[in-house]
Amino acid sequence: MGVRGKLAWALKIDKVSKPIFQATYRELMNILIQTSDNVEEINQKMKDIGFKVGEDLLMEYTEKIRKHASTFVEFSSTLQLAYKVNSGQEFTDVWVSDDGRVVKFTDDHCVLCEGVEIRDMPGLQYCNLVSGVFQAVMDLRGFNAEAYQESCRALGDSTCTWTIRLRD
Amino acid sequence: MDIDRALSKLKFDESVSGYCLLTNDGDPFLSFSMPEDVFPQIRAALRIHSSSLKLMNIMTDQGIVILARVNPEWVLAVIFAEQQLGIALQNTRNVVRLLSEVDLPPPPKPAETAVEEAQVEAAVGPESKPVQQEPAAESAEIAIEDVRVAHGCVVHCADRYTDAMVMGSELNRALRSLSPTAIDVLLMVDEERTVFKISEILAKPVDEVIRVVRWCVSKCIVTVECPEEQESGPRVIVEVPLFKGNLSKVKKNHRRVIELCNGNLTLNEIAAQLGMTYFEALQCVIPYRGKSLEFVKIDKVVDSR
Repeated sequence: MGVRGKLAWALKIDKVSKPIFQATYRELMNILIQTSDNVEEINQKMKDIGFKVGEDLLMEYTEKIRKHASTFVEFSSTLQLAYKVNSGQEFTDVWVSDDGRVVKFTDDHCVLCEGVEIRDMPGLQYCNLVSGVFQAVMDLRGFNAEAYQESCRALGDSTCTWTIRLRD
Repeated sequence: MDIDRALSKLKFDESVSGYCLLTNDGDPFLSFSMPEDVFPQIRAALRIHSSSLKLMNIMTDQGIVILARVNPEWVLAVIFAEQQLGIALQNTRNVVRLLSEVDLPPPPKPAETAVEEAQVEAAVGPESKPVQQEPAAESAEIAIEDVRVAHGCVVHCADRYTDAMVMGSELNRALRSLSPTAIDVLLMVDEERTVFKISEILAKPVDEVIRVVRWCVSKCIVTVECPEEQESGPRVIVEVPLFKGNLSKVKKNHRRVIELCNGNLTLNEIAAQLGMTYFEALQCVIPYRGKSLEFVKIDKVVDSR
């Protein structure tokens, strides 16, 4: 994060306590687990919640963003900025495929699943809230793309990865 | 110890330019950036030293190759671009030590061995079976367009897995022509790993692994269990205390509680087990929190919904 970014993060962004946020997210996940029949249903519900969050965020920041992404690839930097503004940390890596149709965002220190160890639900996308936010941005900006969580530290993967992929 | 943790020592070592696991015949598997032109020298060395091999080096145009015996079936080969021989040997030995704690899958069988085993089975089995295994009926295959595989699907072995892992079999040849990593993907099937986990271990793109797995599902070599089939069940994510320190340094009046902080019981369960209140149990763990004790969040099956 540059100096201006650090100042903006320190002075201008409203913050919430991390333990409260993580505990709330965990209990939200618990409710989804207990009210769903299978893992895909949990993933979808969490993504739907993320979609609503994404709608709110887009409304909140539309005025504040000086330059909006106009091509799919430009979302690699727009979503990086959005992640930075809302979590205080950057993605560890952002990868764009050669044909510019796939972007992968990874975070080795994901706040959502910090300290979580899921041992017996291999297809769970614990941090799928982020995919939902990305999906909202894609849909509301008129891009026919899908967003999903590809790997998750909570499930023993080395990093959390979210992918956005242009549909054919 | 998981295989990817052991191999990641090499993957992220800047002095390592490539590595792979070799059979005693010098067939490479799980290869990571291993240059093709070093294999003739490696095979020649294995022909001579395979039976007595522990640790040896070969000087090649690409750098120093270290060969190290992992178990009776596997040899680790690591190529170092620029490294002092002593350090290269030591680094390889360290990884072999880690790999010795891993349950490595058996390498694919050579065709002759597979036929011999089938003959022995036929001879000792209660019912005599034909020596040549009948290939599974074509009708059992699934149209590839109907196969859906995603990164979160767990891969399981199916009827034709064993046949596919016989070197030189029709299925094995088809797999090799499908993708150079196809056999590696099958080697990594352990009934628990997801498509993503396999791609991570092999350091190959997820899409490539999905392509291989889809083909294998269509040929009844593997099956997949995708998130829509994985029952979430009556479970809940809870915080459990995990003590990693030295019990002898724990105060006597805290010891009963700390002994149960094994990462499986919640503090509530510990308190109930010891007949004390939650707050009393909490007071016993607080002095160690963030030092030798941490709270981890795990999923736990609960009695009923």
